[in-house]
Amino acid sequence: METDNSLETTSSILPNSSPNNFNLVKEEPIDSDSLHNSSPNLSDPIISKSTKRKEREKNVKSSAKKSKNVANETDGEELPYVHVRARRGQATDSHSLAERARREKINARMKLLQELVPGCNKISGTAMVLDEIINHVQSLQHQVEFLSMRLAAVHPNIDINLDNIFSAESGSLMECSFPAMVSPQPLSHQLWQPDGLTPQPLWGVEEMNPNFITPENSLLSYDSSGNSVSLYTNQLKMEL
Amino acid sequence: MSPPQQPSSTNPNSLKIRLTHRFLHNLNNLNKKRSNLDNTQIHRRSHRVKLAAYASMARVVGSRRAWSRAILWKIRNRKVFTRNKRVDHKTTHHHHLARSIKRRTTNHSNHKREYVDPNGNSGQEVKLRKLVPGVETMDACGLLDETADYIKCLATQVEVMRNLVDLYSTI
Repeated sequence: METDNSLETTSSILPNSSPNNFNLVKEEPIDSDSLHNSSPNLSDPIISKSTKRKEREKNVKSSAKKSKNVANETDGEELPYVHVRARRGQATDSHSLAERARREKINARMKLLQELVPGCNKISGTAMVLDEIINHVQSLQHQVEFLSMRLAAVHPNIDINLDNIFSAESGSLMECSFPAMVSPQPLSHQLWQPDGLTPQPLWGVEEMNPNFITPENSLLSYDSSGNSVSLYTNQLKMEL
Repeated sequence: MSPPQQPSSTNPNSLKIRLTHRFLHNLNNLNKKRSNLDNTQIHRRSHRVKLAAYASMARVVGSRRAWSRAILWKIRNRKVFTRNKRVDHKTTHHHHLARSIKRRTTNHSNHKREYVDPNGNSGQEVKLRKLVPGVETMDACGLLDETADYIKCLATQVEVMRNLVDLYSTI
């Protein structure tokens, strides 16, 4: 039986006496349900020795780890060189070892990628996952292009130097001469109303492409107190 | 008047902050350099914004990654190329520039068209190499690494741009 083989290889404490193995096999599903290896199961009337309890704990551990009927799992992805143990029935020459290590590196990276790309966890098989990744990259690039179009439409000539707002070095951000920086450059096309109390939609300006932005979008009205701009940066900081 | 802003130094999204910083910086430079007034067509301006986006993404990451190095190299070459081309006035369309830049990059790297991975994913790897800049000559392992980093940065950049668009259009 395969379970006997796995039990033999993982725990080599007791010799193979059939009543022991039979007990262990019976116990395994119960212990895997409970998944606790500290409290021994007292339902079995035959078990009395402490060595058997040790063995049970070992088996619980192995079943809790969900080991397949394989003697040793490979491990050590984080080590400087990969410890690759040979599984049952696999070649152990250097070429296939290196090949296997390389394949496992690739699989680890693929798992990372699967986590990055949304909706990729359920897909199995390298080809489908790669397809998803390619689609995701393409969609992201299209989004960048689309958003840059929108930004170009919305952001015609605003010369705000928001760098000073975001610089972590400067202590108080708003006191850097903000009104001076918002220099009223070509005023004829300016969206900014220096006394803008009521934000009137100025989208009648020529450069505004009305196909992009609907007219009910309020413009960037700037009142001289600078309060709206602080609100602006507050929003930006909040969204960040 | 306005309450002093406390700079949050322990922000977990430092990449986003850096990207915003750099992207706005590039946008402002863009607006300052060219005479980017209202008579410029929107698609030309949007192309420049897109370049600014990629440039800012690459600058933030620096030279650590192959894709960022490739982008920075492309942009640097593009600048040189436009400077040379403006003297001649032969072409004004940037498609021509893109084509010649592609020629330059293929001379630079070993452009293997038929790359077959031992796993057997030949067509998709080629596609991925075309999408991610700078991974032409990398092995499969490095390719996946670069793709992961590229996806992460692209996603952050998209988020930053979306926030900016929302902000600009609602104030």
